[in-house]
Amino acid sequence: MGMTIATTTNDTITTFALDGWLDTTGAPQLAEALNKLDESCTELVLDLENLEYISSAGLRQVVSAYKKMKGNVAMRNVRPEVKQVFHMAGLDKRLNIS
Amino acid sequence: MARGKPHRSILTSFAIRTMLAFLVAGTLSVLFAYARSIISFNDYWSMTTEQIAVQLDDVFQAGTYDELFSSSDSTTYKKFRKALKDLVVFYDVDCGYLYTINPERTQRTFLLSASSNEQEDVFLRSERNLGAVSTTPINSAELLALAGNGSNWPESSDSEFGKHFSWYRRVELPDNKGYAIIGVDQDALVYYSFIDEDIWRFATIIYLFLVCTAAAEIILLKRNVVKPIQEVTSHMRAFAVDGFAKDRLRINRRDEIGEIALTFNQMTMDIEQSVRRIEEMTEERVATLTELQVAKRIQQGQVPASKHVEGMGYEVYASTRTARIVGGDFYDVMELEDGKIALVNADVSGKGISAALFMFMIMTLLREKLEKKKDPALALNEANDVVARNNPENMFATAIAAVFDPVTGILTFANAGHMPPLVVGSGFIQPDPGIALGFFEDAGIVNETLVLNPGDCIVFYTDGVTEANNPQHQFFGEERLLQAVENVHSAQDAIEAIVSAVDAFTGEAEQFDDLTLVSLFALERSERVWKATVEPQPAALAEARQKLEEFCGGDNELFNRVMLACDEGFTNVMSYSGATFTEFEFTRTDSQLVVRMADDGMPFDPLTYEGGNLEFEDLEFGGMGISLIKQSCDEVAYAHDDGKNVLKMTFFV
Repeated sequence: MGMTIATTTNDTITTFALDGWLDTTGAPQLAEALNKLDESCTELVLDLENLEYISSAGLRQVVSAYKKMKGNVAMRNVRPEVKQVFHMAGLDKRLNIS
Repeated sequence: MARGKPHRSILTSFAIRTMLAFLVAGTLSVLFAYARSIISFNDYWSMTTEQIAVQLDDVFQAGTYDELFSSSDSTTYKKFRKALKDLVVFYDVDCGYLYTINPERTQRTFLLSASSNEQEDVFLRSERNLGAVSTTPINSAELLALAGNGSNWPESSDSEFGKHFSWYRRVELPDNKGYAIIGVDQDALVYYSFIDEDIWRFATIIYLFLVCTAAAEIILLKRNVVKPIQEVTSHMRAFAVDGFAKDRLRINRRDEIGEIALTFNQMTMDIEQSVRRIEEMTEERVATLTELQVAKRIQQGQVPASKHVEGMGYEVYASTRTARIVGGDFYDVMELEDGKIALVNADVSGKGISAALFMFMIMTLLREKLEKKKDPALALNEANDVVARNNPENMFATAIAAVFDPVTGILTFANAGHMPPLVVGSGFIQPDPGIALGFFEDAGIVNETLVLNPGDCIVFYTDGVTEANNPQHQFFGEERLLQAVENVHSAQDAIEAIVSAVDAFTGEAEQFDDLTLVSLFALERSERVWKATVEPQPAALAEARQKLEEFCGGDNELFNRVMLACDEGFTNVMSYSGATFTEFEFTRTDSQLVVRMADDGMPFDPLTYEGGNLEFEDLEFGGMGISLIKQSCDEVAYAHDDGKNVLKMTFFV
């Protein structure tokens, strides 16, 4: 269990590559990473290629990110099992998932 | 076999034969001597007669006929008679006659006669005096004597004075009066007594000589032949009993006996050398056998001749029989901690010690890896990599490893070039052939699965089964293997049926290869239960997660659903209930997984919680968890029981 976040910044676009489990334990890490984002970042990309699992705690942080970035969040490479959780929570309708 | 003295010694036979031969020779000699004696005595008396005749002739030369034979009373006649008597006495004959034979050869006219025996002499003086006539027929000897051929051979005659032998010679009478015959008589008793004495002396000497010679022969035979043979015999007997010769035969001779002794000595030395070599070889063999027996016990400690395991949901039976003392085949049956069972059936190339060594390495590797990872293909691949890296002899092993989950009935197995498994009632299955262990690293052996329903039976076996030979060198083959398990109802049944079919088939033929079988018989599906009481801390979820992975048996979709529901439920308890503990209970059956979570927090029924319709903006603060639980489960129920919130979630497989 556990999760790591690799942050890359390309001009105004910041990418978080999440690896592991985004659950109660992993969620605070994502929160901390979001806090560190400064004003220069206009778009956040969540690369979820290596995200194996997400729970409601993780979902909450994803919603927080949306709010902070005013919707400028894109999710890439989402695994089916993670996408399923977004779907169950009804978030897939509102979030930019691909 | 020790034997006593021979019934009859060569010496006895020899002695008897020699004595008989000498007796015959002696008797013939004596008979010959007898004849010779007779001839020689005849000659002697014949010569005597001749002597007397010569002496008489001398007398005749001294006088005239008329002076001599004028009257029997004349002094000259008496003197003459006296002379004859002296001769008879001197020559020790019985009597002598002087007579003429008439020209008709019909009568004798006596001139003179005398005897050494006084009584007879008196008789002769009156009966055979000058002028007495005898008409007894003239015999041939007398006639021959008259003709001048006096015979040595006597004529015999009987008279009142007993039997006599007579020799004759002629004497020329003086005054041209013609020839007279001088006859000399010898008494038969005297005659024979001379011969007897002669023969006795001769016979005594002959027999004494023969007896001495025979005795000497026998003594020499005994010393030179019998004794050495007895010595050889006793050495041979001692050699036969002891197996070695105490000393060498010391017979230094250049004859046949010496040859025997020399040969015997050579033979005993050769045999002793052979015996020593055999003893050494035997010792080595015994030592090797002892070591092999220890090796066998070590192997049997790890791979017993048979093993029977009855667990929840399965019955397993395995058996092995090595062709040699130790073998290269092996099986392994491991009850894993989660109720699964792992099986291995393998066959190492070659036989005996080398195969056994290799077998131990493979078995140990597989055992360790199967117990840890419970993954047949992984275990085979990893074991293969270890072995293939250092395999100077290019030994290899074919193997099948399998893990059976009695809850799901799933048999996961991986094949490394082994014999195709047999499912009773449906035949051989053809898994990926894989590749035998030990050849190349990265063998790429893969797992395959098979669902065994209750009553299904699978048999793994080594080629010692299908390639068992009967005395006609036919293989047991797959058809007979299929027939053998036609009516079996347990793993033990299956293997015992196969082994007895193989035995009946091979009959008297020697077992050529190891024979190893493992069979699994699936019983009613079992359930798997896990219980734990944890503190409501995030870290506590880790253990539950691990168990869930195990309980889901590789079903990722199921795992994700259950994990999410448990996570959300546990997170709620942690976050809001103030509970001091949470109890987890997972129950897995073939068709479903039930999760029961209980906590001692404040009573709260999440199913009646009406927070599911929050707007997106509010979601940041929670409320999605319960919805996720409801959606993940196939069934969910809440109860407040015994002071605990109990949430029971059911997931269908």
